Amino acid sequence: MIILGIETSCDDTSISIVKNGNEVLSNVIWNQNKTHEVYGGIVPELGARRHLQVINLVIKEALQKANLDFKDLDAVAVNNQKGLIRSLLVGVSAAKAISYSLNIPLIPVHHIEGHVYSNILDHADLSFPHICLTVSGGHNLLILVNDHFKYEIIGNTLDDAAGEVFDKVARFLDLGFPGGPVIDKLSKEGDSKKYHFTRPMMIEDNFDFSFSGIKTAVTRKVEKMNQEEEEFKTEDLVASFQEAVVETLVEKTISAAKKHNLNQISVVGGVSANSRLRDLFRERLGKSGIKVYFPSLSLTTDNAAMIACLGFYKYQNHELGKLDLEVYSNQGI
Amino acid sequence: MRTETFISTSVDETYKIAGDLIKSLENKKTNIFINGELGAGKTHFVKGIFKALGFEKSPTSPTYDLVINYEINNLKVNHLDLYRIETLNLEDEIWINQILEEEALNIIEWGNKFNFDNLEKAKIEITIFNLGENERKIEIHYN
Amino acid sequence: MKEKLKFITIDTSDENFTAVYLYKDGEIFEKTSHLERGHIKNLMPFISYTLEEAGLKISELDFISIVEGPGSWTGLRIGFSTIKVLCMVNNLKLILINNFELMQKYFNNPENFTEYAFLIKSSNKNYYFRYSLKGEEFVDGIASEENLIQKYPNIHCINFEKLEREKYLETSVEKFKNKKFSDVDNSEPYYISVGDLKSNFKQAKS
Repeated sequence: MIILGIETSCDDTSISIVKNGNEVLSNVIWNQNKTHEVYGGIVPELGARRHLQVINLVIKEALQKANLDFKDLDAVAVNNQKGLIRSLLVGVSAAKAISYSLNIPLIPVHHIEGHVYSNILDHADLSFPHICLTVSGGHNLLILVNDHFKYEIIGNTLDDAAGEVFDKVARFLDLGFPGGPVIDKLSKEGDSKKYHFTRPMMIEDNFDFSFSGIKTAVTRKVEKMNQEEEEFKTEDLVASFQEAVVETLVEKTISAAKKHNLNQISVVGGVSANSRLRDLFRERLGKSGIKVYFPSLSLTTDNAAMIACLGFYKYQNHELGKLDLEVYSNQGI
Repeated sequence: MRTETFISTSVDETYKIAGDLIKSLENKKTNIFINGELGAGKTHFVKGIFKALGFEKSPTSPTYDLVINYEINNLKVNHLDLYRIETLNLEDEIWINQILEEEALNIIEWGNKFNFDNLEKAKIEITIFNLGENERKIEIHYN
Repeated sequence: MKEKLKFITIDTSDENFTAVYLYKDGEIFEKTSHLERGHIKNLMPFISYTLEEAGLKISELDFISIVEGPGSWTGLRIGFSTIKVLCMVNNLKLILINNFELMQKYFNNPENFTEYAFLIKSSNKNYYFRYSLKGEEFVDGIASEENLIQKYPNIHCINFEKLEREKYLETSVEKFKNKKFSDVDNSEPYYISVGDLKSNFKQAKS
């Protein structure tokens, strides 16, 4: 079964074609950084305009790369449940037009749930039940995934997501955007033990996150060092900051897995690309018998392949949409 | 027009100041701008507001969503965050103004980056300064 | 008007009004609604409905025409993303209709104004305007009525009102006969990007 996935929730226009929920025939991501860069931040209206500008071209490229025609598509899946509303509207309208024209099912899916499926797409041996940590700029959840669509959210951020504090700290230190990759890179040259930032909320059996405080701690530290004219290396500072965030994510996730007697951990979302996060998970899991899964790098970021994969399973579960499908900017998962 | 200044020495005190503010509002359908540098303490004040409204969970950051909508005890609440916006396109300005003029309680972070002086609805501006350790100065300016 | 043509004209330039008009060899099928922000819910179903009523397959259409604006950019984007993809998948020609052009075309200027402007409401205080001098030179922009009159003191303002569907259909046929087709993949709404009297961007205070 060949499914076309559409994802236009934020800064990326992505179209992907996936076969049988596990074979990625093409995954095209058109990134909007250049559209927003010159303005210093994001301009939502321009972002929405950009999605419309490129939508036909990205669809055509996805078909071309997969060596397929429109008539080969069996269904279309689209994220209509989380993102910037004016951007989502472009993808959902396109999905309806494709569904109607080809007389194929329209499958509405949720963006974060899509991330949960990025590992299911990438790793055939990831089975149920497992613990899933979704971590990016916009979300930070710990989910007990018992089976397809049988979730229990056991932890959430109480304020900022991990990816968000990476971005904010990086911007505070004038390191550019997005913060994750640049901090990941700089930290390799830094001493992560040089400064100690309290790992937030390390309370037994509490799987919620709270990263707002670490952000404050870092900014206070820098202000204090500047006041006292203490010299410091940015590499050491970010390495220490990264260590605190990463250790919190790793420890809470492993703790959750152990509590629920699970031996599989799935880590997804933009921050799952972080090299220290990957290393620390493997380090701490050692010979515990718990296996950790990360998506390949192109599937950690927002993409339509995970949407198409999720669509496949939604289709099996008869969860289809109609042409009057609505759009939501933050529906719960 | 009047300004009240508070010094808070703990998270609980900040919650109380936020709670008192909410309780003092006759008409909750107002615009509350919360300003302060990164790390100033806006998050705790916002959490205090939500707690006082009767919201049991913690409001997550709208930095990436730009706005998160709630309905709490029949009151429509919008939590906006303009951190990611540096340049305000006319269309985005219209869209934000539409939200600010809604029959709702709007909580806006990083709103002082732009000029929202021409709104018809009532406006409260809160500025938070981090004085070090757990100490915060909270200025509440009523228009 | 009776032409041997089959086409659909859609209008999503008003945030709260969705219109789909289907023309089939002289017969008109329509589906409209005044649902607030209803385009995403109604547009595709209305297209499906009118085609079914007319007993047509979408691939049998000679073209699709769409109002390109100005108007609600969000509404227009829903229209454009729907139509661009429909045209791409079904290999259909695309024609764009402009609200200002329509106003100009059907405006008789009964009182012989030299200077006039067509106004389409943008937000509470602003209008998209087309300022016209002697019906020839024109300037498009965004401004409040106040500012517009300040700049052009002798101006006469004409507010936009939806025209009857026949005018949209007539204009579409005319453009078809003159082969005024648009590039499907690269079409977008008629954004008024530079306001004559108001800058489009404000910088954040540092």
